[in-house]
Amino acid sequence: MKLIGWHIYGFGKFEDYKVSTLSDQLQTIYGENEAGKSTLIAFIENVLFGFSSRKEESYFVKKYSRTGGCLYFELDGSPITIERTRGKASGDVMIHYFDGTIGSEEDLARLLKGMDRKTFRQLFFCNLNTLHDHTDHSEESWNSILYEAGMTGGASLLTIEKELEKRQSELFKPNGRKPLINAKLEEWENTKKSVYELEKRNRTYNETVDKIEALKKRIEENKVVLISYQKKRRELDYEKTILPLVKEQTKLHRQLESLPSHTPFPEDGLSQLDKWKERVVITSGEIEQVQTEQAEVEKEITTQELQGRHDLLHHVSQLNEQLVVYRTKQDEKKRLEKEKWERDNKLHSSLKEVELSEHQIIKMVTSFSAKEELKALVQRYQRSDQQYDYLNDSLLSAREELEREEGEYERLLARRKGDRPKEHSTKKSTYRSSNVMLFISLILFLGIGIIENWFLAIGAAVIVIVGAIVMRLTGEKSDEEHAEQRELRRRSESVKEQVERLNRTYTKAAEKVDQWELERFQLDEAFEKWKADYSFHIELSPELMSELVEKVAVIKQMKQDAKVIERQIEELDYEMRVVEDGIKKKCEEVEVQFHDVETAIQQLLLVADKQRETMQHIEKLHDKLSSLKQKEKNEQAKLRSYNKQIDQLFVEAEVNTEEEFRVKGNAQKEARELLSQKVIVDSQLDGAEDAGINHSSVEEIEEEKAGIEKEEGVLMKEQQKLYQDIATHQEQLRTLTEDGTLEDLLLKSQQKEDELHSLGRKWAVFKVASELLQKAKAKYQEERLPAVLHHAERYFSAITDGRYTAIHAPKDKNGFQIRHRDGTVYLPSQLSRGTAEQLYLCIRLALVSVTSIKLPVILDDIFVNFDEKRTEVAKGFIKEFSKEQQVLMLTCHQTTLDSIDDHVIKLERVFH
Amino acid sequence: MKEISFLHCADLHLDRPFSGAQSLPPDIHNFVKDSAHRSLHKLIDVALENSVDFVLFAGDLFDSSYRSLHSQMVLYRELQRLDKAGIRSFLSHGNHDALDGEWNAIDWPKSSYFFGPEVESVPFYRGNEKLADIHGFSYPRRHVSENMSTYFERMDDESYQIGMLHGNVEGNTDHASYAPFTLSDLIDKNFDYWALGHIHVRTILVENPPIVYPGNIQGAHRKEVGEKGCYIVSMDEGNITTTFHSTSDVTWQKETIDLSKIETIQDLLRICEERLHDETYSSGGHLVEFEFIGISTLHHHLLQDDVLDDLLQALQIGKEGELDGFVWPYKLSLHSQPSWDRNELRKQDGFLQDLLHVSDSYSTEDVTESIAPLYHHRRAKKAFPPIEDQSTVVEEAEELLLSYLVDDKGGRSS
Repeated sequence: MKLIGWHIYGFGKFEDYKVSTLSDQLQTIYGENEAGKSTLIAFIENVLFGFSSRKEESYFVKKYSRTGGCLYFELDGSPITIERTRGKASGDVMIHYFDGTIGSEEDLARLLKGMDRKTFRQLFFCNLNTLHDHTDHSEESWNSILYEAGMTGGASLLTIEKELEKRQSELFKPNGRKPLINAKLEEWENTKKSVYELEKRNRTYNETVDKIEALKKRIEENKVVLISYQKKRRELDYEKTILPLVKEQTKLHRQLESLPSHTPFPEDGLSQLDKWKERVVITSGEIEQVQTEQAEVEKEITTQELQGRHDLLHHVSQLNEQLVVYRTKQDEKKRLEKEKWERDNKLHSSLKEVELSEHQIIKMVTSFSAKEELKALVQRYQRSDQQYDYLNDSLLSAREELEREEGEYERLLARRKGDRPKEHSTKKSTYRSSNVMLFISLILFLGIGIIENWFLAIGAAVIVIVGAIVMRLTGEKSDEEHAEQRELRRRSESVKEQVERLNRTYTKAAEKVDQWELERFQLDEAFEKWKADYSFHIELSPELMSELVEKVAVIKQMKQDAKVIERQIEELDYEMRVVEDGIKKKCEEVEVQFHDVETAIQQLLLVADKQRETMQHIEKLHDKLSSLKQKEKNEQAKLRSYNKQIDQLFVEAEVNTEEEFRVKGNAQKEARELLSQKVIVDSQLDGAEDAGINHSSVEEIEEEKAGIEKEEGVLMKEQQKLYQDIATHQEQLRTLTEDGTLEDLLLKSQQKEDELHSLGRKWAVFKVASELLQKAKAKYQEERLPAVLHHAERYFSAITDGRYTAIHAPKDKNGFQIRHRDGTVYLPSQLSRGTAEQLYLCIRLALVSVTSIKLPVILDDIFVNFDEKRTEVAKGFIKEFSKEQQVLMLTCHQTTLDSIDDHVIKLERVFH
Repeated sequence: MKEISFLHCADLHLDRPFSGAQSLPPDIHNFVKDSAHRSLHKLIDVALENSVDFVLFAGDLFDSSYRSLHSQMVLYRELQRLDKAGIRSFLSHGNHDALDGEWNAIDWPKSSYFFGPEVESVPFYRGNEKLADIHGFSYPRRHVSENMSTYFERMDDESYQIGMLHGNVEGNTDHASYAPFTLSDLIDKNFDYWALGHIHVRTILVENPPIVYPGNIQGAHRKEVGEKGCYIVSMDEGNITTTFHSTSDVTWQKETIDLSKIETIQDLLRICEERLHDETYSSGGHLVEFEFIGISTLHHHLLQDDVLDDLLQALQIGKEGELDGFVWPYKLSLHSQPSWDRNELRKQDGFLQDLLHVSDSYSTEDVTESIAPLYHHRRAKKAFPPIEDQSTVVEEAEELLLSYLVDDKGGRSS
């Protein structure tokens, strides 16, 4: 299939780019870098194998109306157009056959014989990059590159092989530990081992159950033995207890038989006898004591009775009662004496007051008549005094008027004479002195009356009074004469008359006074007469006298009262004395010293009290005596009863004496003791008649028992251990049945197994893939490589101008070998770089030449490392080669174009 | 005949570890570990809630003839729950826990009847009235190639006749040596109900009389997908109703994704995530396998390096279990096809042709030989049973090589 041309609708930098006259042999395409050589190749590739989905390779440009294009081929002389435009993923493809029919994607695939993009590239696209990229110039790499070149054209097999190897060894190495499967395998083994161990442990279940059963059986057996031991031990214990009892029984029996007669004997005989005897002794002693006490009491009663005075108390109490009255009287007497004293005092003071002796008083009569007479006298005096006052007043007033008129007269006269006023003053003083005289006389009278003698007083008073009266009278007469004379002299007509009238009045008044004085004298005489009549020889005014009379009367009454009190006192004294005498008499009787009534009576009372106590004591003694007598009687009765009891005991014991009784009693007591012991022993041995006594001593029994106990202990310990073992086994069982570890492990194991299978399978795939690859390579090497190398040999000889004659394929361990025409054999690494590149190129072209599908070979600047001569030779070779196979030669070197004049497409850097 | 009801289950496979989902995180590991026990517990709950008359366990109570004590105790406790509720239980051992195994004997509750090696019938009484006969047997050893159905005989016509048969219906070549029978064998017995066991996929073989595989109670393998549980069967004269009750809380799921419509790994990851967040996975435990199908260039990407592993790990991030459930993507199965046409490639002369030719002629013996370093390795061989599908290994190896050698487009468009 030869490429004739193309029409690019839009792809990369190309739009509507049409070429239709490509050479069917060598077509050179020149273009500088970025001119679009690669895009062109990509276009061809993409139309054939679909648009690449890789974005970086996308040549789709949006501005183009159509993306894609078509390639024009010539197939077996017929034109064929393959058109691919942008469609879904890799684009829509159409094959236009020359007959007008249209083919699909499948037809295209068939056309390309299933070739894929990668194979196409590896086969038909040749540059030296592969060579340079994949060689490290070692022999091995050279070999493999050349080998690949002859096989697929590319270097991928080596990579794949290495990749597969790597993946395998990552997963598994037969002797490794680290790879995944190796590691997992070990884990799985461990898990499996755990599972196995767990299962093994679980298998011990039945075994353990059996063990438990065996242990339980052993325990039951031991229990039976233990019970028999316990029984034996009990028997021994029993024997141990009864052995001494049996011995005791025998002994008691013997002792009982050896005792003297001891029946009949009353119950508790000895103690009863002792009891009764004790009581007899006590009662006898009691009686003796009572009797002694009786005697003592009787003696005391006698003594006491001698001292007793039965009536004293009565008398003394009577006296005591009298004494109460006595005391009252004593108080009364005191009161009276006090009153008497007070009255006497009063009397004395009264007497003093009246300045009279008792004697005088007694003489004075204070009878009713005396008082009446005095009263009348007093009244007369009072009238007389009043009369005097009146008279005096009228006299005085008359005198004053007279004097005034006389004064007037005198004044009239005075104008002639001037001595008259002196007379007047003398008159006045005279009058005054008479009054003083009267007063003095009264004082004298009273003073002398009281102090000295009423007669003397009266006398003195009378003298003074007389004197006074005389004095007055003389004085007045002279005055009147003088005044009248002067009045009369001086006043001639009017005053002289007046004075005369007044003088007359005044004379009348004076006459009246004289009259009064006479009457007064008579009155005084009557008063004196009264005094004498009633023995009041005292100079006192009638009024005072009246008072005195009253007072004297009182005093007289007082004296009378005093006498009455005195008499009362005397009476009291008598009565008191009677009592005192009574007491004194009693004192004498009881020989008590009498000092005074009160003390005496106290002492008497004491004596009487003592007397009473004595009497009471005696009474008590009597009571005691009678009770003692009663007691004695009772005790005697008791004593009799006790003795009777004792006798009864003897009768019961069939003995006569206490001695006999006691002997029998003791025997009986001993027998009883033995019998009671025997009863106990018998009861303890009750039912033990059958039990055999197999041992002679307790020690023997103890020994046997200790032996059994020891065995028992051993057995018990064993039992304990057995129980523990059962518990341990049961715990094991519990763990086995409850533990979920097995499930866990099983699942884990299964998981690991699954994982291993999965990894193993993965490994297997890699391994098989490796194998496939190896086998395919071997097959290729065997079947195809010789043909390829045959062609390559020819090409290489041509391209080297016959310098190298043969290429030997790798055999066994040897790699490629190249033979020089001089017979020397070179290894690829020994070739020069250019020669090596020539060799590589030849092998690549050889591979293409043997491929059944024919497509143009694209050579991309393959001459860059060739020298001029070699390039020329190479060019010639390529030209020759292109006769067999269409070649598209891409170059960016102008020199390459030299000598290639036809069929050159020049791509411009800027196409549009 | 009076009305009775019972629960039918089979294939408890206690002690059977989960397989197929490797490298489970600890939480999920623990959740999954007890899932069969939980399912059994829930199954007994169902029996108690429905107050059934009895419970049938049709074989394979334990996963291996070595029965772990713990699992025995688990079964014991559950049977005791039935016992306490006055519900009888009839159990038979299957090929997995055949009677010739080695285990520690346990005293089962009195109300639990374990069938012996011979087919026998046990009457079921309610009060003094016999209501049913339950027929069954336990595997005396792992393999029973005899058709055991011939030993089942109706006892009378007055009571229900129920057959418990752990075995496989003939024609199922994989299970030839497990008490094989044909449907007509069973139908001819004129029983009222056939309680089958052995096949882990829940199947009602015949509606009338019901011949039922209840499936196992907890999926423990990636192939045992979907809900697992038991049947409650009610019989009243001619009327028989069977109701399925789901009891498992860990479910194996398979999500199929067509890669042909997906262009990038990122898109694929996103779509997988979306599936994992689906409503159906909101409760319980879910082990999810993603199966990639379709023709896609992604296939080629997923083949190379550890892309598939990386993708799985990316999906597993943050999926560690919660208290009552989890969604764990445990496997990505690349069942998609590459974008190249193998036949076309084969036509192309040159190295690829040779490679494909070699691959075609690569025999299973070649595989065995080439993988011998691992599979026949002194230590490793214990863990590596022979690869079952060796041809797929070759296919995968070839695909892997092609993915390196062939351009991803392979000259094709999709």
